[in-house]
Amino acid sequence: MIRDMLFFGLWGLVGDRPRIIGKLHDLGVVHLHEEPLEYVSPETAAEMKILRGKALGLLESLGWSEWVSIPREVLEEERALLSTSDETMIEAVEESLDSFSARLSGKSRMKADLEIKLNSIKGALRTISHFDTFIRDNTRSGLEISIWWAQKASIPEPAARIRKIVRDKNPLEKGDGIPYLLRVTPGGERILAIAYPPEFREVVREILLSEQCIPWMLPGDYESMSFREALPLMEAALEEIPRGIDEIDRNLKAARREWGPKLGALYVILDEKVEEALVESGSETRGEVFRLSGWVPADEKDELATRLKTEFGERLFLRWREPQPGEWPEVPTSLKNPRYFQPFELFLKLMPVISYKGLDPTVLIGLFFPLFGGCMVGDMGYGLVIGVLGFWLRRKDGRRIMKDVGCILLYLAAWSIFWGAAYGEVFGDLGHRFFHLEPLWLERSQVVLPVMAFTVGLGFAHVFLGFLMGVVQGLRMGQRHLWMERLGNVVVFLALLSVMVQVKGWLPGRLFTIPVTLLVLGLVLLLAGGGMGGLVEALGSVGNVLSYVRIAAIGLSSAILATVANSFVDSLGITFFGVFMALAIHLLNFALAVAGSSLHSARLQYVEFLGKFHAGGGTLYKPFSRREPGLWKRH
Amino acid sequence: MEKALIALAAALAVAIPAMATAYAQARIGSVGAGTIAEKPETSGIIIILEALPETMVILGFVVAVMLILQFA
Repeated sequence: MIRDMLFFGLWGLVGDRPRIIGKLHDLGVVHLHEEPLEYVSPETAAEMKILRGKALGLLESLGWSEWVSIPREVLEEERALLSTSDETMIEAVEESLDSFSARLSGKSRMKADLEIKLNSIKGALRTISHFDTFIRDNTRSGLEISIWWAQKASIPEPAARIRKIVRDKNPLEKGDGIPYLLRVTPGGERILAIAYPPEFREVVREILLSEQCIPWMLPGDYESMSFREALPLMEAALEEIPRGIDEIDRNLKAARREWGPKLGALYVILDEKVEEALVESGSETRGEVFRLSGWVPADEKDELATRLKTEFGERLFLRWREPQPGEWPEVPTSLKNPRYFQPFELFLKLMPVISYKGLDPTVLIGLFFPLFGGCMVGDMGYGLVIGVLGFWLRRKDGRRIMKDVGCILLYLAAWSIFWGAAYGEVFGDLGHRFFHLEPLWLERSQVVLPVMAFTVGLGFAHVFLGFLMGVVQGLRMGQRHLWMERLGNVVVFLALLSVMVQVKGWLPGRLFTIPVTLLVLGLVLLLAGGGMGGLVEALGSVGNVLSYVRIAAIGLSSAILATVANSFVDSLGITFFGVFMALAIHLLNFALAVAGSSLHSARLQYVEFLGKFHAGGGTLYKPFSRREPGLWKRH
Repeated sequence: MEKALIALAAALAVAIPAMATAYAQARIGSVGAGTIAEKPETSGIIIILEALPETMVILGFVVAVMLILQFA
């Protein structure tokens, strides 16, 4: 049902404005007429926006995003703390956020530094590992070692030059005291390690630099050390640094757990405050009086008026009126359905918002969706499992959407059990095998045609109902073409029905003029309403009705697959493999049954049914209200 | 032989529309995913468009059942 709305106008004293707006925020039923963002925000709002941004930045640094799990008491605590919007409060919050930000940045920077250090040590040890033996042997001989990135494929020439210089300076040196080793890494880089007497360091450096070699250095902290000194220290650091990183991670995780919900709640409350400030600045002010207007559900009018009058008395003036036809596109659409059907409002969230004067199909979806889905599943065993799944979803997840899905699954389960009894199925033919269970209606895997005929009948009724709703919709909206075309379809459907009745011999043949008259009348209405397009759509409607055969087709495949699963135990005996295969196929069948039945049943609602009358073009009802945990999400 | 031909005809009545549906849904699905990424409010319409070609297979199934029941 679409709730009746009333236009709401409020005049109050400028001095009372923050309190009145706060009260409206608490009551949470007014869909404000103004677009607050068009107005320039006051200074306080701008400051609060900055604070809100800071809180969000901190949350992103913490890696926290569990918005739906903010506990209500934390939200209320923050709301109480930020009950005023004065400068002192803003300064205190800002100071606290800055201090937290500084500590968080410090930890994050420390972690980043450690990670860089760890990576550079790992890289250095990887490079050194190519020359492990070379370094060990030559260090033992008292030689100094340096490592270079080499440009050329081989370096015999510079090595020979170095040897010659060493021999010239020290005739006792044989020259084989300048060993070198060239390695090519898997990445194609050439790395040269060269060993020499320490006094020839500069000579070696000069010659290798002239050969376009680039010196390879140990990481920063070890740069001035020799390989012998640096290696044990680097290996020790390799074990120590990950412990330091883990410690910081543990601290950050603890901070995320402790401060995430608080900062999240702070963000939400600041968001509320900004909204209030914007509404305040957006209200029309004349002298000492300000005005706010919007839409309120008619059933909330008395409560709203009483609460406002109790608090503000004669200092507030309220005015109400019915929406005029010219305003219908602006009037927000709010749905109010019986509790059983409320979860099915979920289906309409995927469609454009219903216009205020449109028809709410929630109740009909709530009747037909589980009926069709259950007819497809049609197994008491699967129905019970779906029921358990639905119950678990309702209990486990606090989110509204999951509760709705859980509810829908419970209804689907109930209809699956109903149809399972009609078809005599419990996990395929297990019911029949163990308990000699007989179908109350028929065995669908054996008798296909009656089930197909039944589903076509269901389709006929469903599409027919869709057209009737289209007629009502057209009349309500004053769209002549729409209601004439839909009425033409209704009449053509009646003509087809009467033809079938005649063919069956349930009516005497002399009454054949009835279907002919209906057909002619229907075609005239179709042409008048939709022209040639109307005729084409009437033909498409026959396809729509046939489309309901999918209920029988999917049900048939599900029943046969369940029987195949059980037959594995027949073929392989009660062995591990036999039981495993049977369970695996039942699991697959169950997943296909739930997904397939839901998807196809939804499709029948969206395409075959809603397509006949659903018109969008409405405005979503968004009351000016406090954020609720679990329902609020950051945009 | 005659029964085999009837079975083949029934199989083709489902298989050919199934392939056509798969082709159509693949095209609609890829384009639809892009559309929803840019305009999430079009989800409902895209689901409807994605579901439309399935009718072909259902009609194929009806034909197959008719063939088997009528002739086999």
